Amino acid sequence: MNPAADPVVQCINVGKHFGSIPVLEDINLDVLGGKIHALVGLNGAGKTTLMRLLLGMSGADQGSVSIDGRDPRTMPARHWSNTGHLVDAPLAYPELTVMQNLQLAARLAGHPRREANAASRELAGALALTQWAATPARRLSSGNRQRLGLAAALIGRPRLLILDEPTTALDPAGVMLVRKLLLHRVRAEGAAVFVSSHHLDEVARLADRISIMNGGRLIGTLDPSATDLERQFFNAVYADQVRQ
Amino acid sequence: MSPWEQLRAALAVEWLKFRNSRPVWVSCIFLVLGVTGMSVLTLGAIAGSNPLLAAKAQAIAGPGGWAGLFAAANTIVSVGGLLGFGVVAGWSFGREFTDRTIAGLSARPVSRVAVAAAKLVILTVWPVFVAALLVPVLLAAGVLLGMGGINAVVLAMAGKAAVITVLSGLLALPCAWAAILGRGYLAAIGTIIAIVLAAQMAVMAGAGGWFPFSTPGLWAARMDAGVGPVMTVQLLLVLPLAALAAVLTLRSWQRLDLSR
Repeated sequence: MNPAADPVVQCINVGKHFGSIPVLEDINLDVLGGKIHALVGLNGAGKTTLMRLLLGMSGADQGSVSIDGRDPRTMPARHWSNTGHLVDAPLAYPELTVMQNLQLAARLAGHPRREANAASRELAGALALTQWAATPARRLSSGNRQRLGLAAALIGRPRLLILDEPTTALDPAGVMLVRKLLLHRVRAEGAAVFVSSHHLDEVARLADRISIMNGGRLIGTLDPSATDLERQFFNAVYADQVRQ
Repeated sequence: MSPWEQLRAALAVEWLKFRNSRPVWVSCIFLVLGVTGMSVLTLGAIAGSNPLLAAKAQAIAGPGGWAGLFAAANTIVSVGGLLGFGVVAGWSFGREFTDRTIAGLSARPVSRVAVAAAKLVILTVWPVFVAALLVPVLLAAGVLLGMGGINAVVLAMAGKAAVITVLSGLLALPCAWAAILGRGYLAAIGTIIAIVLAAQMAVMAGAGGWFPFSTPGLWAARMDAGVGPVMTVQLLLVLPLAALAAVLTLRSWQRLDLSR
């Protein structure tokens, strides 16, 4: 993976349609090493669709997507060891315990069995899941399931994290915990993070760059240090809707 | 990771899920204890007071004894195995869509193809495991019911029951493909019901021998453990059909588009 400040993720003129409906149009975006790039937008703006493209789960109809210079659709599996993700739903099998789910995620991240056990314990501790280690995932609250999904994404110390609304269902303590973990991964380890969120105040505390998405297009940016982000966000979205 | 390392990791992951899944153990209990219980009940019905039931039971289990016990078991497994193994095959792949874990299995150093291959390996070995449980339970039931000692003839019947069980498991593999196409295990359950119906219709139409889904059932209907050259070829057709189902499953799984 590239050193800090080089683009890890790049989208150039990316477009995608569902049938005749455009869901992504002319997306140009990059995510740099050692930085957190946040994507904000209303429901249905296209954030999750864009993240799925980045992870090679579907292909773009126009333009190009690359992760560390490689096409995610054709990238050999071994290169995914640098990437952790949480998109759509946590990787949590209801019949398996928290620890079994983490061991499973560690094996999928490429850890041999012994390392997988150690990595699972470490992540359970980091996400404050140790007390539920032997609890089946079906008995977890939605917040703890989300923590489990985040732990599964962070396992293996990936250098790129793609997280779709990671703080959904988390209590304030969980939000702070995730923020601390992500900032540590970025500042101390040089990881690149691409994260979507609805929580503008949370994004402001976390992100180095904020892009606004509306109707499948990137319509502007927000300055994380600015005041009243909510107002700026809605002004941008409203202006875009008027233009359309 | 080399392809072999990926497969090893995927096998560990899939075996963990498989052995903790309730549908797997429910179908196992049904196929071992359920089939044995129903076979014994069929034998009991021959000597029962209901003449209609006795006639039906005799058509399945013939003269009774060891031959009758295994004939009944084979007949039940040839249909019940399709259903039981089909549900498990459909569950194994379909649950990833229903539980929304398919995205989490993607973009990993253990490729999605390795995961699908591991599932298929387990689904292929699973019927062998079930057969290895079913046969001793049937033999124990026969001994307990006073059918006499276990000789070479009885062991040949037991071997036939094991082969029919494994063939039923292989014939259920198309359900894995159906679960991917239908993005959930309900599609697989619909498929296995359609397969069972088609197998019955093929037998009634007189073409069952060359319709692989019907062949184990037709072999089961024969009282002896022998198999002629034509039926050997017919039974062997199950293997390319299972291989085709596995290839289609791998291909569809690899090409999945998860844009929504």
